[in-house]
Amino acid sequence: MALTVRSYILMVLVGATAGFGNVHARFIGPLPPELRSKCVANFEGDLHGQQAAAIEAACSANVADRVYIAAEYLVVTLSLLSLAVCAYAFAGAERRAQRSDAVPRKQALALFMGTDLAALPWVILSPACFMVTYWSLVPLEVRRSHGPTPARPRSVCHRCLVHATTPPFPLGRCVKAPTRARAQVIWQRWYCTIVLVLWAYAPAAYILTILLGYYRAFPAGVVVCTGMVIFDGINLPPRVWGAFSFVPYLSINRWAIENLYLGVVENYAHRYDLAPALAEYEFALGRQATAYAAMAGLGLWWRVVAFGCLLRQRHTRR
Amino acid sequence: MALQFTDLRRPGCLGNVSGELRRGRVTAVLGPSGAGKTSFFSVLSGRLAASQGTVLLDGQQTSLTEHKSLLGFVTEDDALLPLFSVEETLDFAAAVRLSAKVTTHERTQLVNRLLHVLGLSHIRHSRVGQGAALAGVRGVSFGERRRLSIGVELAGLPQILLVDDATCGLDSRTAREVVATLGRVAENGLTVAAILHQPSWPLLSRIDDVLCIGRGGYAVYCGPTTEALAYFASAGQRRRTLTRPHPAARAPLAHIGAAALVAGFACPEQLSPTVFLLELLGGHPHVIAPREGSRAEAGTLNGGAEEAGVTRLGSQANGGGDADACAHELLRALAQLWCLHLETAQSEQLQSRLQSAHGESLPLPAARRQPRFLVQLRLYTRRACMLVLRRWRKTSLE
Repeated sequence: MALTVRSYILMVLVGATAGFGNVHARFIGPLPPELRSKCVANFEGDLHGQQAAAIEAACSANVADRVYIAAEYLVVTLSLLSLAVCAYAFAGAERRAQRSDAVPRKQALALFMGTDLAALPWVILSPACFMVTYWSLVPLEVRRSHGPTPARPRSVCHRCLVHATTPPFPLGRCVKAPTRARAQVIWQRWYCTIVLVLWAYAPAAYILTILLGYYRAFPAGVVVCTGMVIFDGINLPPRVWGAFSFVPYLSINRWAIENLYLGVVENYAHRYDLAPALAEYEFALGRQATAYAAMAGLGLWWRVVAFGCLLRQRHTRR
Repeated sequence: MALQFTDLRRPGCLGNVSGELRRGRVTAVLGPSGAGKTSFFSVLSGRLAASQGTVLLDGQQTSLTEHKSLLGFVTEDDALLPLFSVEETLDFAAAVRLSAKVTTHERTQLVNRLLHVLGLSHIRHSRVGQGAALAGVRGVSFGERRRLSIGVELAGLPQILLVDDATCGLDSRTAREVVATLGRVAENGLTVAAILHQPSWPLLSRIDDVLCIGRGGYAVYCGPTTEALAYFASAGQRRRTLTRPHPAARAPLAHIGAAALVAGFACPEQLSPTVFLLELLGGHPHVIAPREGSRAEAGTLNGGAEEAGVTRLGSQANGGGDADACAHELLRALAQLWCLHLETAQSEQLQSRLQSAHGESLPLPAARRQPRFLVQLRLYTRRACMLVLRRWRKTSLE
């Protein structure tokens, strides 16, 4: 596919698919309070407290699963797209050229970094195509909380935003600045996460292409992506892993899903209670920077490995 | 710059290679597939380490890994970017290999000179392509691609040029053009060596020297092409002379391949000299060993051969036994014979050079020093970005 116009068009399509997925998730949430009370009234006799709680939990899990699945699918799609696009960097003629060019180590590093830098425009611009499509389909519901509107503050601290978007809502206690909150959801949660997913998965494509060649790289990439899904600690949360609880944190998917999930939570927080799901998956609202740093670190680490593979392969005749 | 190598060995690929690549001359490296020709080049270029052996650059002992920039190694497969033009390819190769102190004007002059020497001036603006039409733009031909690959290495201003499979997959006319190009390169004072797979005799005879590497990685001859046949024809006589007590002789030949080297090897008239050499280097038993070293008396390959007093090597060596063992024995014998010949001719000179040159290092011309990392990074990033843009345009055209 390479870094051509097709890869941008595909991002638009991915945005459309993810947008529809998100809208779908929006309609399958727990029942709104008025409908919920009607539902409870249908039961004969009094509903025990435990039964009511079970209904509430089931409703929350329902929407949480939908949001998680949408986020998981999106990350998998993005990772496969990144693999398909970046696999071209060290394939074919380029791969042969690097074998002759990159004989001295310093030159090999320059070649590797130069090739990687050339993929940056795609990594930065294509998520913009995604965002345009996605947010034109998904209604941005980060909104001012109900209650009397006091004077608009100049800025909103992160803690206020967390309070404002975490149920139960502090009605009238904190007023969000809508523009800033929306920017945070769109750009910080979504855009940066997608950029980092594409960037972090690119070296996986380099490694596979260098080691296996272009045509075998993509099937192997699917295996890598599946591995990332298995070890992302969603189905098996970190606490289950015991002494190996660090393993899920080595998956790019985990950090990406956490960010995307929280992006959805922030968007629909006024509507649903998603806090139980946060606890279940061991997500945390306040560690956005950690998630970015982790994804960047993993991307960097994979790049070091890819460069090692390049150095190892530079003299081979294959 | 002359490159002498003595007793180069590497387990599994190089048995014993000794010889010399001379300045201003083209040396063809000849041998059957799997004989270790590419391994020999890889050892010379420092890509593989030799387990044993000595290399002299202009008479000074040195480690070639320290002077990689003196060598240009054109690999078997053309490592060229299809979407770049011939001129851009050479210009980039020069920019990334030469010092940043070399100005753009000087680089342009170098590229122009290279285009002239390689005979590529008329296609300087053509896309390299992949040998076929590329997005409506026809790429350069295979011969031109091969010459361009040579040019890419020459852009680094090497003193010694090694070309792997110089004429592989080329028709006779294109192969002749490539060899002529190598000749022009050598005329500019470079030492050129090229691996040739089954060249025609007219093509081989255009080349100054030939290095014959037999199966198992044994060098059996390195010298003027025109004298190669005479050398093998007189092998028996040479053996008798050299096995006499000689101060330079390391080991007597009497116990190795004695039977095989009784008479020497002359090329039958029915056989092309190149085929004869390759058969001999492959150690094939049906190469004929005449009783006399004359080509005229060699007889024929078929029925008449026995009548003419010609004996097949296979049956001569071990009574028709294992042909491989016979071939191995023959090639080892030839290699030892060649070593003795070399030592006899050069022993005094070589030994004195080896002893005097320890610890000395060759000066590296300033222009050949590679540019700084940041300059290289800028060049590679620019090239990769251009590649992305051109691929973009290519898909748009498609």
